[in-house]
Amino acid sequence: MANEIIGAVEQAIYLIVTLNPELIEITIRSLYISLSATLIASLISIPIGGVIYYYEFHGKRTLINLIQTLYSVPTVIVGLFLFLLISQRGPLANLNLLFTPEGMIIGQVLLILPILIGFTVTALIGVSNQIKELAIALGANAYQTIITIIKEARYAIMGAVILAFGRAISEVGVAILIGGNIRGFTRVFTTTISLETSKGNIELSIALGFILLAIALIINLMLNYLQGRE
Amino acid sequence: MMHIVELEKIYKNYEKLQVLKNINMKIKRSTSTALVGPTGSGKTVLLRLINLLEKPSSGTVYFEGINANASSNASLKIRRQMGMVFQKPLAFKGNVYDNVAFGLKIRGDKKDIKARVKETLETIGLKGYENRNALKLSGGETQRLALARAMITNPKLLLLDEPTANLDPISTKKMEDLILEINSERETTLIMTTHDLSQGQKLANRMIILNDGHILQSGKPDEIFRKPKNKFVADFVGIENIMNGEAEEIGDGLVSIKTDSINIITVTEKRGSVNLSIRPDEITISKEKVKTSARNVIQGIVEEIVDTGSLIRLIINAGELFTVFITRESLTELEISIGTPVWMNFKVSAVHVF
Amino acid sequence: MNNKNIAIIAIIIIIIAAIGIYAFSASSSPDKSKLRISTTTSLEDTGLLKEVEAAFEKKYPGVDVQVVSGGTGIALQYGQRGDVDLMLVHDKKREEEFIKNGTGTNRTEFAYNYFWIVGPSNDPAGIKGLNATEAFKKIAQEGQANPDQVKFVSRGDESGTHSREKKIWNDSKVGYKNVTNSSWYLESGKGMGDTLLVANEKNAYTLSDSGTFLSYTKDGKISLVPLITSGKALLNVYAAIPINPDKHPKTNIEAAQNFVDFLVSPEGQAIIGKYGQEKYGQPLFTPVPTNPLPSLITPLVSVSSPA
Ligand SMILES: Nc1ncnc2c1ncn2[C@@H]1O[C@H](COP(=O)(O)OP(=O)(O)OP(=O)(O)O)[C@@H](O)[C@H]1O
Ligand SMILES: [Mg+2]
Repeated sequence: MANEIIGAVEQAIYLIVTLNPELIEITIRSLYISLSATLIASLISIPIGGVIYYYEFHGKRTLINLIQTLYSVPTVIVGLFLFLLISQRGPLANLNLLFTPEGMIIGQVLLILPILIGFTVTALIGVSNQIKELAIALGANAYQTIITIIKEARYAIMGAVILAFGRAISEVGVAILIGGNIRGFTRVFTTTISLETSKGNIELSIALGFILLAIALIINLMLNYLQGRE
Repeated sequence: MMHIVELEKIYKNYEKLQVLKNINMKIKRSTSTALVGPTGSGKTVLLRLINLLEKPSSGTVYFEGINANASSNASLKIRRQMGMVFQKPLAFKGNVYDNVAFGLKIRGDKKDIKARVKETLETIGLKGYENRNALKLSGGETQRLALARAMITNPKLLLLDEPTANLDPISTKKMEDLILEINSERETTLIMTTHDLSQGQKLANRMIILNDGHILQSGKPDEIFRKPKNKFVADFVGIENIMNGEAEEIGDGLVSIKTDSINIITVTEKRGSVNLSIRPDEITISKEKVKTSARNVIQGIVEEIVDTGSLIRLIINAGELFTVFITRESLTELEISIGTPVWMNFKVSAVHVF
Repeated sequence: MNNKNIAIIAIIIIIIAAIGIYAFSASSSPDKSKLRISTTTSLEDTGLLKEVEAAFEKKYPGVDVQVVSGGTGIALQYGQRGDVDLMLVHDKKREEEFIKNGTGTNRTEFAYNYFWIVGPSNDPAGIKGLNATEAFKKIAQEGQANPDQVKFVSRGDESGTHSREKKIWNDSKVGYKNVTNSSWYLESGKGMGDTLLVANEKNAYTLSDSGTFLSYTKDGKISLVPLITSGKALLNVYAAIPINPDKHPKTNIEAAQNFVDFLVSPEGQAIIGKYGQEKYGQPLFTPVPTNPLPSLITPLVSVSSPA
């Protein structure tokens, strides 16, 4: 058993060191899809989080609870929901998003929106009310105040973004249902790992797992560096 | 001339707690006003109402004659003509430069930001601090940063909530000088709160005494010290020799005020139950009963002798406790020690009735 | 928002765009028509389609073949809903339903192979030489008598292989319900590879597809041996069904039919017949026309395009 693992790890390292074309291609595609999804979701969620934080309105608490409940929606459910929308029988069939990277990006955006909005709100609430009043007293309007608070909470929000990216790149429900795991087109880390494992091709899976870990490590180092500068 | 700020029948409640009660005040342009009162009297809340951070429960805040809370847009415009320094010094994450430039950037006032920040920091005594981390400044530095941040936009009205509360005596002196300079050179209208009467006296040409949400008295500092309107103000401003009694006419236009144990002669319109105070520096002391023009001649026994440095403070029991100041020479000359009986002499005009 | 933040976001966008352009410069081909084929993971796993796809795309350079793989259920859903142009499946009952309800135009069988009953080389239940149903009955009997010696590991995951296993238990009169309660019967709840590893560990029998089994033995991961490798009960027929354009007008019926024709053409059949020889030392599939199906099963149906 131990020998088997060592052997597989050796081969995995060999694949990485020799820049195996399939490995590179899957890595680049996975990064492209999940980074795009994270960027788009951030651009949507952070302002929405700011608005939810700033304004007092009826049902605010309920809305936040609802968003927090959505954190734990299984990725397959999100994938299925989107699939039913964009499939040929669905209302959005004409967008031709099924089995495309763009469709996967949209699915991952939907998947991580709740986490990003919820964590943004939490991060903003964590900034003291006095900072908010300071901004207002210095003449900031609603928009400028929200921006100021977001800046104050930037590291917490960045943490949320990284968490969301982690969820996006490691999810398999959307990737398989919307992407369809098409070789050379929509195949990503997670779908490859599950496919290759069931084929008994453990080396490629382990190699991909290593790359995923390496990406997580790099991102965390970046975050630590930024936080250290604060 | 139009008042820059006017408060009309302001009430402020938090739930059931009534924090401000029927506040009416008018602030003239280029003046400096000190809101003075004990902890919890409502100074901060009043300042926040003027800064439009809070709305009154009832009543109206006028800025340059218009209702300042008419719309959030109007409020924003008006607020941008003010500067506020909070009681608790606070800074945004980032460097000193970004903190000070905040007000300018937010107003879209992009001209010469660098030069103006530099100049303001110099004025405030934080020269060359631009790239320092604002969160790592000392308390006093943060306080000055807050003032710089508020004054860089050249506000018409500058609101300062206990600007020296967290400072050591030297920093306090510096801050006070700065405030005076801002008021006199820039003609900025100032409203500040303070616990410290002498600071109010030093920095403000008008004082408003606040207690328990009420304005008890407002006027020139001098006036308040000389003529407190009631016992609370008198106590609060630290006036000595306060007593109360029944005022009765005794002819010759004179009034005798009978306390529980003594009679004091004075001139006043008031009758019935009144408060009075006698300024300690207007009381003279003698060992024997002497003939003077003073109408009040009262005997008492020295109970306490306190060396305050230049002067000696005597506490004399004459039924009521009196505070009197004498010089060190007089003390030895008159051979006064604890238990010595002495005579106190003071004029009718030394007595203030309220 | 200040200029610094805008600059940072702009840089991120540029990086992502660059990655995107790089990632798709090779594969994006707007003037090509797409042929979407849905298949179950078990067929995709063998790697056969990869080779057929390459040969087909060489012959039809205007077509970009995209093989979509998912679980059995979702693969059929993709077809049912018209999200793909062609289905490659191996579940005859469901395939016939597809033709009946008009989702598919026709059904063309293009290859077959057998599930294998594999087990320890000493064959403790003595099933070698029996047919599949007899063998299962024997395993049940010996397992009951001797649960320490004779064991069976099931995938237990509702996959195609698992449903075939259930069918054999029922056909052998042992009854699937009865075996699930027995101490000699184990469920891995995992994929074929893991199930083989478990069976190897426990010296147990299991039902496997030949591809996964050969790949695991070749790598030396397991020492199990194939015991029964043919017979009607183990037959696994692969068929292609183009999606009906009358029902789903957007489907690419032309390319789909071309692909089916290619599968049964001598060229396609040669690829199928040879596939696996190099990698596993023996082919994984038997092409249909050159080696007619055993007479036990329904004769070959091959209908050409209605167009
Ligand atoms: N947001 C609020 N909610 C409830 N009560 C409040 C609120 N803000 C102030 N108060 C109460 O109003 C009263 C006046 O408070 P305020 O802060 O104005 O006092 P202050 O005169 O500034 O005191 P200090 O000298 O200690 O700063 C206090 O009793 C305080 O507890
Ligand atoms: Mg206060």
